[in-house]
Amino acid sequence: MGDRLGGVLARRPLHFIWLLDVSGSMAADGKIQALNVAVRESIPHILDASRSSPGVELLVRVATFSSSVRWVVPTPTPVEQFGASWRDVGAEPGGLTELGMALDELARQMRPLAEDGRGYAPAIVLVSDGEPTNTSEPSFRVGLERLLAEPWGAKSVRRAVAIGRDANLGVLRDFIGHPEIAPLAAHNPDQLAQAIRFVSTVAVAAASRPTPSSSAEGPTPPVSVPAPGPDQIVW
Amino acid sequence: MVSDVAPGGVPGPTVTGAWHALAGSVIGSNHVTNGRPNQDAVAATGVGPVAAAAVADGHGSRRCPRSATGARLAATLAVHALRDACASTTGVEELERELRRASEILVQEWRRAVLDDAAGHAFDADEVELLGRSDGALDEAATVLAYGTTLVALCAGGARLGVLQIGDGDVFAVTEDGTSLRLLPDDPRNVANVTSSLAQIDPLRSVRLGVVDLREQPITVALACTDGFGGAFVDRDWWRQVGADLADRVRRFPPEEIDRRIPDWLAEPAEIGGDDASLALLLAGSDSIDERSVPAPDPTTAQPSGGLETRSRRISLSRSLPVRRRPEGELDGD
Repeated sequence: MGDRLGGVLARRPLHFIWLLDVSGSMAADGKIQALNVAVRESIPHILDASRSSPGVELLVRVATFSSSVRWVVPTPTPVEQFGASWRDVGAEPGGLTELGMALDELARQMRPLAEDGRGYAPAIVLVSDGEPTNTSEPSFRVGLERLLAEPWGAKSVRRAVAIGRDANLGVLRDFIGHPEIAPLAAHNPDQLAQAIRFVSTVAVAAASRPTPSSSAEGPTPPVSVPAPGPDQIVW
Repeated sequence: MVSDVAPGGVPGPTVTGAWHALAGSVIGSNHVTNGRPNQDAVAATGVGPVAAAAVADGHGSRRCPRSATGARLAATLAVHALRDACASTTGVEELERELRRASEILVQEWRRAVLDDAAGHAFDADEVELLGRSDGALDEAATVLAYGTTLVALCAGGARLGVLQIGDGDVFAVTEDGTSLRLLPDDPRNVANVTSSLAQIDPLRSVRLGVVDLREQPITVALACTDGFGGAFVDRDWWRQVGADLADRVRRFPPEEIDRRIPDWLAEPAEIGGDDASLALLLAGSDSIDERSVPAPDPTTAQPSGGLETRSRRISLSRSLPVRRRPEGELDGD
């Protein structure tokens, strides 16, 4: 090694967060099982996406929300070790869809990133099958405002997957906050697996590219999703 | 590597005690892996009583497929503009005014240069796809954005140091004892790898500039770098250690050796941090701040000892430089 300046060097962190709906309705029609399979199957693809940027340290966390918010993988975990940290999540019987509470929690998680001041914009993937409820504060609108009020929350790359026809696409679109990027809709397990794989890898790629502040990253290319087979569940 | 040495305008390289402008750039491991080019660019004038150097970081966004060209144009134009601003003025206030004017001209010239480049080199199908326009029809804003880049530029001469920055990256000066001093305040808009840009609709609103009176605050070296260099360090105050190390090297080695070592200093941050890493240096010669080369001091700002100070007769060593800053947005005139 030749001459060098300065202190310790390290890869630049990119925080990737899954925000998963485990409300009561997710128990129906095998949705929660399909979600668990989809997350597990997406891990190698996310790992591949991160390998194309050797200077990026991809750190994964998972939070679920229903009537409350729970971090199921609370520690930012290197993607290489994430498979060992992941445990299937279950739907909460009778659980609501308190998305505002979940976004408020995300807003809190943005503050340490700002204090550290290092690395790429966080990537957040939201998966939900329903309409946000508002039995506890904050509402979805307020939660989103709080997330976007945090400098690193505002810069985050946000993508969403809508499960079934009851998902509120308008809410998911507002969460994404990009006029050219729509949530991906999944109406069967294969579509869900493909959608989660796609949005997760796209979010990682988008977040790791330096971006001019006045520019949109551009629309998500259309993803081809398999049509349901004759015996397949349709949500 | 030093590229784009600006020709003309600077007295010959034999001037004693002149400023040395050096710069280098190393491609990041992310770009090597993806088969993409180094999208940073650097430019430096070399040696003279007036010197300038610049680094530019072309955006990696897929909407900026020509950012390497945009960065090269920005760095080259900036070095010319800042060198001329420094050479054509004498006082601190005058340089400040001239830098403000130069930034306006620079923004216009860069925009014209990238539009000329686009006119001479039509976007190919791959680029059009990246730009998200399947019909190939690009408006002027999208065309300019394709060349998007940041810019950090320095100039020195006549006992003044001038700084101009748009977007992320860092710039600081180092005193003889290795104390590092930030030259511009942070721009809170440049966080999480999202940055202001020369390609944005209102770039002058994001220009930060400053002038240091080197009679009040002598320095050994000033450094400008892209975020591919600073972003690879773990410590948020990485620039303090880099400054101390740099002061040590400047004490021990001549400018030619410093120039030779720049690629070594960049290689590890580019490899580990993944982004292209670039830096530009202005090294003060032994009598760069000699009283013969500077205008008479403003009696209202002169130190109690009066008269002019050379580097060896330092007036003060404060932690905050007497930088004259433009408030954000003030450049956005009528």
